[in-house]
Amino acid sequence: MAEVVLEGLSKSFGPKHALKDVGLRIRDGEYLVVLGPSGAGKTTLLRTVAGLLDPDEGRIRMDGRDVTRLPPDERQVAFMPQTYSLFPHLSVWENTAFSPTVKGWPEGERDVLAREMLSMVHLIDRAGAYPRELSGGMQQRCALARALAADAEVLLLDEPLRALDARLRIELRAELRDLIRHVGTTTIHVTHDQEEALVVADRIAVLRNGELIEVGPSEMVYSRPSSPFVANFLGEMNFFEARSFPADGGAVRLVAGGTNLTATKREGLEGTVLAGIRAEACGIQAQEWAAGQGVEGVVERRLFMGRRISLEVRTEPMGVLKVKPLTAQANWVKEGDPVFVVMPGEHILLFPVPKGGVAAALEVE
Amino acid sequence: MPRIEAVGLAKRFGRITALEKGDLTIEDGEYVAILGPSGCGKTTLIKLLAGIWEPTEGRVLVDGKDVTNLGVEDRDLGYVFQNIVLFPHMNVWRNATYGPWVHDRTPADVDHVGKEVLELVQMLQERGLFPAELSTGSQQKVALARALANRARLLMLDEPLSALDTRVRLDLRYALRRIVKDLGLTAIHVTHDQEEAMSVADRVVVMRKGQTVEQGPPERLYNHPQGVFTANFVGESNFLEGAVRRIRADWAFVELRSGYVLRVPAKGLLEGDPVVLAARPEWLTITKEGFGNVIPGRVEGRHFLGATERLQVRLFTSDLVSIDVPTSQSLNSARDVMVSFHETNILVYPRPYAGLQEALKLE
Repeated sequence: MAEVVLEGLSKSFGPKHALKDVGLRIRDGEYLVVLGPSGAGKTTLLRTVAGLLDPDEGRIRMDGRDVTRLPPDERQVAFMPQTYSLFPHLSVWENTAFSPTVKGWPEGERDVLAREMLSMVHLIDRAGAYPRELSGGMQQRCALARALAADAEVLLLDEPLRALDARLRIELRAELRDLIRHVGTTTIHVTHDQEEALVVADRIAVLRNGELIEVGPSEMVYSRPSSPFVANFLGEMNFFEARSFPADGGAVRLVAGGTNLTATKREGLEGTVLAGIRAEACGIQAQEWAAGQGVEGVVERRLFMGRRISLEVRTEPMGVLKVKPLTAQANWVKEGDPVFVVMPGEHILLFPVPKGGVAAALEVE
Repeated sequence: MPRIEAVGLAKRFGRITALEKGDLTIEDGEYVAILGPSGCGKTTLIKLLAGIWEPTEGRVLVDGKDVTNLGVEDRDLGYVFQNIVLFPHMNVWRNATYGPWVHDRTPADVDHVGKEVLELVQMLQERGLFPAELSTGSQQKVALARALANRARLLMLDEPLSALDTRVRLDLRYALRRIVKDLGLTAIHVTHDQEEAMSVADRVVVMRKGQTVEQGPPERLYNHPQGVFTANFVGESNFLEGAVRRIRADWAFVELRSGYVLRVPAKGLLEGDPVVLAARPEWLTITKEGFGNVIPGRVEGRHFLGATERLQVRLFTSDLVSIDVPTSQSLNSARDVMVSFHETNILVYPRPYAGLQEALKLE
C-alpha cells in the first residue's frame, strides 16, 4: 500500500500538451477515478505513473520516495491495460503466477498467492484454460488477478471495462470495486464513463485537455460541480442565462425569459449568470396540476429508456428542455402533451457566464 | 419503400452455428434494434440482411423480391460500421458525397445531396476539414452522412456508437432516431447496449446464442419481459427463488427461503410450482412498517448513482437485492429496513430447468 503524490506533471507530444501541470495526492488505500473524454490525457497520466512514459516536468512520489526516474519494474505498480494483454500461450494459472515467478518467489508462496487471487476472481475452476477459451468478462477478471498477484502497492487500471458489453459492464463494475476494496490496494482507475466513475470511486478527478479541473467525492462532483463542463459531463444538463437578484434566506431570484425561479445562492456571483439543471432533476406535471416553480411547455419527443423516460419539452422562455423523470412518475406523458416542467431550486446550479460561449465551455471532444 | 423479410435464415461457419434458422420481418419505416451480448449472432444477422455475407440457408426478401443472391452493392442500402470508415485523404465534403460522385450524378445533384446530408448530421460547417481533424463523434456523423447520401431508403447500423465515448453516444443516439424518423427510413440497428436499443428503436429484438429470445416495443420488453433472460438483460432485475405455497382467489402466496412469503398475481400458477420472482431496483421501496408484502433486511452497501442512490440490501431470505431510491430520500442511514414489494410490480416466471444462473448468463 502506498500514498501517491503527483507534482506539476507535464507531458507534450510535439505541439500537443497531453498533460499540463497536473498535481494530485492519492491516499494510501484510496480508489481514485480519473474521468474525462477521449484525448483528455487520461492514459498518458496513467502511463506516466507506471513509468512507461517520462514526464517533461514534475515529480511522482510513492510513500515519499521520488520514483520519477525509476523504471517501471522498480516502482511497485501494476498496470492493467485496456486490452488486458494476457499472454496467449500461457494458461490462466501461468498468467496469474507470472509476476511472482519472475520475481523469484519460492514456489510454495507463489502458489498460495496465485490460488488466492484466482479464487477471489472466481476463476480457480478455469485455471488450466487459455485466454482464447475465456469470455471477455473472464479475461478481464484474469487480468485483474494477474495485476493483483504482482503484489504491487499501486494498481493502475486503464479503462478496465471498456472492452466489455454494456450490460456486463454494469454487472462487473461493482464487482471490480468490491474486489479491490477487499484487497485495499491504492488504485487509479481511468474511464470516460461518468456512471462507472460515480459507482466505483472514493474520489473523482476530472481531466480535460490535459488539465485537472476538479477533484472530489462522487456526490460533490455530481451535485456541486465547479464548472458547466463538469456538470454536463456527469449528466445531461439544461443551461439558460438568467439575471440574478438577492432574495431572503441565502437564496437568489432568477429571471429568465420572463420566468421567475428561486435558487440557492452561490457566493461571488451577481448579475447575469449561467444557470443549469440536470435533466434527471427536473420533474414533470400536467399543466392543470402544476405546483412548485418551473415552466410550461409542450412535449416534442418522448423516448423510453427503462428506468427513466427521456423527454424534450419545448418552452417559451428557455427553448427545448431535456427532462428525464423516472418512468413510474411519467408513464402518462405523450408527445404533444402540454406539461409543466418542475425545476426545484435546490437542484439549480449557478455559474459565471463562460466567456467563449456555452457551447465551447461544454465541448466534450 | 422497403419491407425486409428474413425467411428461414441461418448461418454456420464449419461446425459453429452463428445464427440458428429463424424468421424476422421489418416493416417499412420501422426502426428495429437487434440487441444481445457478444457472440449472440446479431452481427451475423445484419451482415446477412445487408448481403455482406451469404446465408447457409434461407432467403432475404425486400418488398417481396428475393435479394439473397445480390451483393451488398446491388441492394440499395446505406451501411454504417462500428469502426469508422472514412477516406483519410478526403475532406468531409468529399467523403459525404462519395456515393453520388462515383455514380456519376450531375455536379448540381452532388451539391444538393451533399448539403442536405451534412445539414442533417449538423456537419455542413466542417465540410472542409479532414477526418483526422475531427473528433470520433463527428467522424461517425460524417460516416452516417455518407451512408445517407446514396438516398437509400434502408439504413443498416452495425454497432454505430460502440466506438464512441459514453457521453458522446448519448447525444448521437438522439440524432440517429431523429434523422431516421424525419426521413421516413427503415432502419436496422445492432447494439449490445440495452439503453441505446430502447431509446432509438420502435421495436427491440433480443438475441442470445444465435436465436431470437423475445421481441417487442421497448416499454413492453422492460415492463413485461416474457423470460428471465430479458428481465435481466434489458434493464437490471432482482431475482428471488421460491415455490407457490397456496392460491387464494387471484393471488398466489410464494414461499421464499427462510419461510418468508410474498403475495403475487396468480395467473397461470398452480400450487407447488417452483417459481422465480423478479423486480427492478426502482420497483422496490424501503418502508418502516412491518406488514404487507414486505421482507426485512439489512443494508450492506450504498452507492451514489447521481439522481438516485443504490442500496444493497441483504434480505432475511439471504438474497441480496438492489434498490434504487431518490438521493434526496436516502439521507437516513438506517441499517435495518423493511423492503416492500408491490403486488403489481412483481414479475413471476417458472423456475428455469437448467437453473437460474444458467438462464441469466450474459456470456
